[in-house]
Amino acid sequence: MSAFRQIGAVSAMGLRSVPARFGTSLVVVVGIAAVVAVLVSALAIANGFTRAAADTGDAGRAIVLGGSTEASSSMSREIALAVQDAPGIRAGEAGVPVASAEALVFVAVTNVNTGLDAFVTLRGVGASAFELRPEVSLVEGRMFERGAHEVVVGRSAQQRLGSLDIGANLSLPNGEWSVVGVFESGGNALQSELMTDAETLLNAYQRNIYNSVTVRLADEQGLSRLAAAIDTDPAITSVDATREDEYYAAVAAPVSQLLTFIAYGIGGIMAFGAVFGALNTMYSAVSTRATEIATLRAMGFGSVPVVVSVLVEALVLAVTGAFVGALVAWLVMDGSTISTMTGITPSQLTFGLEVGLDLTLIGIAFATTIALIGGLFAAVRAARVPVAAALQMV
Amino acid sequence: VKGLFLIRSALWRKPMRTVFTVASLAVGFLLFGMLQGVDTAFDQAVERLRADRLLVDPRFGQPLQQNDVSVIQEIEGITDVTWTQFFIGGYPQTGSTVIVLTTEPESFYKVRNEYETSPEHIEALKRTPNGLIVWQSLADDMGWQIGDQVPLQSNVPRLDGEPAWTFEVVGFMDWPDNPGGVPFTVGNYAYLDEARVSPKGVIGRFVVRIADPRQSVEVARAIDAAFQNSPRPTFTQIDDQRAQAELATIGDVSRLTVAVISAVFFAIVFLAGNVVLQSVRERIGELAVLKTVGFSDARVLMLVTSEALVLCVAGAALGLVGTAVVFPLIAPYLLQLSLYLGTPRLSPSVFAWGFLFAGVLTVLSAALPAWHAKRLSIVDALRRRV
Repeated sequence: MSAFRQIGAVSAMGLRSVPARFGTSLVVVVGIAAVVAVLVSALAIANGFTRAAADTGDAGRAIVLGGSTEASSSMSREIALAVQDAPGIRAGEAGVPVASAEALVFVAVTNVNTGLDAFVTLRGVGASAFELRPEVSLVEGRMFERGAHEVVVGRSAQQRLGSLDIGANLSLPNGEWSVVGVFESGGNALQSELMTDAETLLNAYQRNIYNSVTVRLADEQGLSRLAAAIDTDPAITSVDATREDEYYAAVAAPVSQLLTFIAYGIGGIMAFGAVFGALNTMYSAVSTRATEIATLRAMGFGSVPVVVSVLVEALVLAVTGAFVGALVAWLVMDGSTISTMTGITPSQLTFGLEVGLDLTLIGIAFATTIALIGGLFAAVRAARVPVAAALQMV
Repeated sequence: VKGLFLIRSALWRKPMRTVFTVASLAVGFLLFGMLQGVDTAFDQAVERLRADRLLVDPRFGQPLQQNDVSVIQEIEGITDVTWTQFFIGGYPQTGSTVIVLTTEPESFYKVRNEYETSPEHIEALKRTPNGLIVWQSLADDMGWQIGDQVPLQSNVPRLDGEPAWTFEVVGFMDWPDNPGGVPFTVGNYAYLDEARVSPKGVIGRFVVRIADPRQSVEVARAIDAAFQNSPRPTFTQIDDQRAQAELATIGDVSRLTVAVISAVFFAIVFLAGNVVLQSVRERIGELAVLKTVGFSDARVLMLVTSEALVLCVAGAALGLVGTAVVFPLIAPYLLQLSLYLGTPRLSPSVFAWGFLFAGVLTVLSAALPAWHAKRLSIVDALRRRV
């Protein structure tokens, strides 16, 4: 009998006896399923966040700030106007630059779903904001009117808070503002915000300071021309222009890295615990099969097929567990949305989650590692089963 | 003692299995401890930021009326209400300006419990109509002692025509959390309101303490709604603006923690249950012998449950000791999550929850095997063995 056929025969024999050891075998499957479910879910959150942040930025736009983040940045009306007249910005209809000077405020609302406090970003935008951001589309109701106390709400913010349907009111310092429409923006960060007219908003807060100016660049060299103008024009040297995709990637990076770190951290700790569970199960499997293994050895089977058969059994159980775990993660997480801190603004970012093949493969990699470590020790013991003693026990 | 011996021999029957099981449980409890620790740290940060205070200001400038306090007291979720009115006076001897926050002392120090003063000083302020509790550093600068009369020049006219408002120093206070704050003094609103010509009964602001800091927005809206159609609409905000922004970023931390802990719990219940069940199966004969020599069903049940208890408590103890060691190491990195989280310390409540969790785990994992062992028929078990 060739070595390969021996391996095949012994492994098949071991696997066929798994149902007889159903309870202990299930411990490995359940343990690994828990590890993989948690790992895959946590990675889905990290990936979903990174994707939503990346989708918010567009390489064809630039954001001009007077600080390191949009929330902490401020610029006067004069600077905001001067920036919009700078070179490098695409001219729209009638030569008006495609740019929007924007002001952010943070509005306290009650999250109807949890009964707890929540904060949303209300973004005051300029007249060209929707030409600037073609990804924003109104899906319900109508657009706010400039000068009126009206806002449109992003679909994600509406879903998260459950309280911002059309007709709902927001409490701002100068009175109640009403929700008149709902917009979508392809699931990016804007969709977690509310929008209104910048001038009306600044009036309500008796403020004359903008947070940022976002512009559509004229062409490939647009940003360098804009940056050069900012460097040379003393009126606007206090601000900085950044390509929008780079800005969002940079501000999201710390949270993105942290979420990935948490996913692997928790997954790793759980995997460590699961290794002990796997060791238990595989040792128990070997001791149950001791007589069978001794018989095979007495018949002339080598120790390699025995070692391999234990590892194969561990791997089969682990991969089964990995699929169960990924399935649970998929059922719970896929297509749902979650909210977390952004690192971008004080309000939360709501984003969609996807559990796909890529994450399942990472889960399987974890599972097989657990199985190999857990199985290896037991396999070595199996290879060392003292033939005579084991047979005497019969 | 005999019971302990039996439990020990049961656990050491397969030492490897016991060690691996305890190790696996310990890792589960380590994870539990860390997650619960982080979650509690967030809760404590919310607590520390004192989002439990609301400031009720006039919305359009029409001054608030002191007697509206009865309306606010009626609103659900509010534990204490006080009111304040600033009084600014010049102290001619040094040419400096003294800020007097006039209020009702009893409720004021309940709402503003971060100001440290003694109950005697508060009592003295209540007894003395023109009493004044002075910020310690201000008193040091001015050289004021208890009993000193402090005349303050103000443009608020008095009914009796006196040019100066005279206060009497009755106590001192401090605010350890905010050493750099602008020093001020606290006086009686009743004294100000009775002695001034006009306007009567008018205050600057209500300060409200609420029961649950996480529901501050809801309570704030309820207050504003109560005054919406009154001649004096209010605008209610959370005291600390930083807390507002911070609360917003915390997100779904608790929900995620619960999800992960549930997954871990499910896996370890399964693991521990299986180990105990396996151990009972292997010892069916032994258990039957114990019953033969007179062990009651209940005692066999206790024996198996105790075996599970030892496994779970050992795992919990190791895991929680691990948490106590590891948590301070990762705590500095938690600062990244939130600037205002501070460097979190592990809350002792985590250990209490951990052992409670171990108790539940014991009951769940021992239930089936212990029931098996209790129901065991001696005759069947001994026959099977032979």
